[in-house]
Amino acid sequence: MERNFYTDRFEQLLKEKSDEFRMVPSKRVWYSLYNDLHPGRTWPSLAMGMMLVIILLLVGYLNNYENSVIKVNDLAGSPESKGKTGNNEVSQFALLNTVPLPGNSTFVSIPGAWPSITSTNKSSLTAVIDPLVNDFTTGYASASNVRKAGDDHSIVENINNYINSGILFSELAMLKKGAREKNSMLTGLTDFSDSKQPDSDEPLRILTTADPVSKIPYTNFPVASENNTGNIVPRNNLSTAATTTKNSVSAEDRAWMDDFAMHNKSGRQKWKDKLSMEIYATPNVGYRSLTSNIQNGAQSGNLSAATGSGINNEVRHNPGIGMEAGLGLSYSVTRSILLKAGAQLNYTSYSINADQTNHPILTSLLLNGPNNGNPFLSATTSTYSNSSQLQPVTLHNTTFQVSLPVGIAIKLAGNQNLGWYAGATLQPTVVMGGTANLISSDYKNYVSDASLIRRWNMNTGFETYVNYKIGAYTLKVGPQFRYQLLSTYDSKYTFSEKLYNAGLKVGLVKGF
Amino acid sequence: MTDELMLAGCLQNNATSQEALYNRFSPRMLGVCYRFAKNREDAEDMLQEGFIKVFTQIHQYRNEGALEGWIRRIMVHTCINCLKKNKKFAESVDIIHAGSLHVREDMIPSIMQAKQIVECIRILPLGYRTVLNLYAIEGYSHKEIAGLLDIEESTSRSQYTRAKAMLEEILIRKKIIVGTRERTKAYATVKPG
Repeated sequence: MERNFYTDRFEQLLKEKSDEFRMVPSKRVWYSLYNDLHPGRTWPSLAMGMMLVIILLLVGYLNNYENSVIKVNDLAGSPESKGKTGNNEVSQFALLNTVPLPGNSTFVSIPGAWPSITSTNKSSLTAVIDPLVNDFTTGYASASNVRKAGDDHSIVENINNYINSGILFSELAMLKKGAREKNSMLTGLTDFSDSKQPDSDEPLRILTTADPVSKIPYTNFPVASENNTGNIVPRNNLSTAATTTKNSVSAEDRAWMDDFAMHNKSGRQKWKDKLSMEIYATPNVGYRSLTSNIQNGAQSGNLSAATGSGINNEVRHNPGIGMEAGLGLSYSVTRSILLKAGAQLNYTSYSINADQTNHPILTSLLLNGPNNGNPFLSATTSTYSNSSQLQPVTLHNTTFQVSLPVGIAIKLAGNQNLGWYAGATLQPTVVMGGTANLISSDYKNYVSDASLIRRWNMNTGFETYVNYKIGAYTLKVGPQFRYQLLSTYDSKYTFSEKLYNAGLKVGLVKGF
Repeated sequence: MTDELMLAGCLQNNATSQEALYNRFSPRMLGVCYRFAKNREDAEDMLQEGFIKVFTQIHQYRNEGALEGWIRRIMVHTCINCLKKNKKFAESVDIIHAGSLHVREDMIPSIMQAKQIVECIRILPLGYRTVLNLYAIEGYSHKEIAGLLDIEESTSRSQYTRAKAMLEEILIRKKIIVGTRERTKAYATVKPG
């Protein structure tokens, strides 16, 4: 009794403590869950992701595109650059440009012999702003001087303000290291290089209209509009701001990244879970569509059968039995989308009702000319006739193909054990061999000539199937339709034959 | 977001409501899954699968009990299904020196940490762990456990007894509880189930 009491107490504590236990799932669980619950919304996010990547690539390209950057040094002394004025241009020889800013401050612009910025090249300016941001945050008193620590938006706003103000790029470029040495030719700005750089303890201040241009130290160049009220900003804040910018990853994100990295060390198991192998076979019924393939119809007027319009009425073809067998790999991108690839063998066949002749008959095949495409008759012999009914014989047009199907399957409905899928594949195909009984130019004979079979072809497959889980295996059964995109025969044959077949695919799937 | 709004949103497949429900219950449910799973990754997979069931079957929830209890039951069933898929429960388990222990209340320190307990439970062999989780923590009866795991009711009882003994042993060895043991006999190569 006593023991039971204590044991129950132990169990109770066990339950209480276990119930207290909580863990924070990684974010990927919710993302996967969301994609499963809202599969339709996966695509917009993919598209947005792709767009983002493209934009990043474009920005990267523009940043490295030298021509988009105004070469300050080259243009500084070039005679062409001087004297250009226009409606949207800022005169290079204007002594002083002032842009009113909030408060008592004024944005002082000192155009020298440097290039002006027009409304048309402002956009290109955005591409060169980014490198300058580095300067802002690493000691050159500009935007960083007046922005609050940790407030990254202020840089963006500053840059936008700067662009919108239409102020000379040269003034920003002047902030870059080394610019001072090359500015000696610019008499109006010589004082800049000689300006005393303030001590680290010396407070920075915003310029006002009262300040003479020649006294403007380059480190006191104000860009941002905020805080431009003449307030004193300590220079020491610069380093803080720069540090904050570099360590912009929040503690929460860092913790998540660490957690994600720790629990995703090995991707092997995940790959194994998502990969599955299947073996399948598809008995099918195959047939063909025949159309004319005359490349230069104008030259075929005197050839009776050239148009091929009545070909389907003239021949006596019947569907035949075919077979497909293959191995495939499926990778589950999401719970409802599978990517597939594999290798398969196909045997296609259809039959021809013909008559055996007791002796070879001289006949001809209508072929497209190798050079100009004009059809011509190629003399040959045949032992099969399409017209008489003396000795009926069944001919078979067959091909043996090796294909590498690549495709996708989407789960339309179902649960863990039972699922309904629809899929499509594209199948690059090599035709290993076959038999070809080709109708002659006068439709009266069949000529056997396998050399006209096209070696490379392309097929598509469409299928829908039901998956049923049986233990470790999954049985899949469903109809399949396969269509050949290119003609069975070489382009020089004047009839285009495209094979198609419909069958029942039965497969066995096994996960790794 | 209130429970009613959250449920109504989930019924309409509203992503915001689903996220709210997920955020509210996922930490505790992951704790449940973690007790059954082999590792955290498996636990998260179970959690994901469980929440898919929750969201797809939420129309079956009738407001008759606590929502958390309903979700928890789905999670437990999901965990069991996942385990059954990969492993048979009637596995051989060797227990050496798992004696009969007397655990008194004063042996259990009040500051016993939940994480320590859970980690000790996870040390147990799969069959033991599952039965202990279901019986002692989730409150299933041995009859229900037998039905869930496709084992005999008596097997469930014996597995539980041994699981508890082993857990006590582990807790004492790890000095989470103080034990005064009276070994009645040593088990050797016990084959539960």
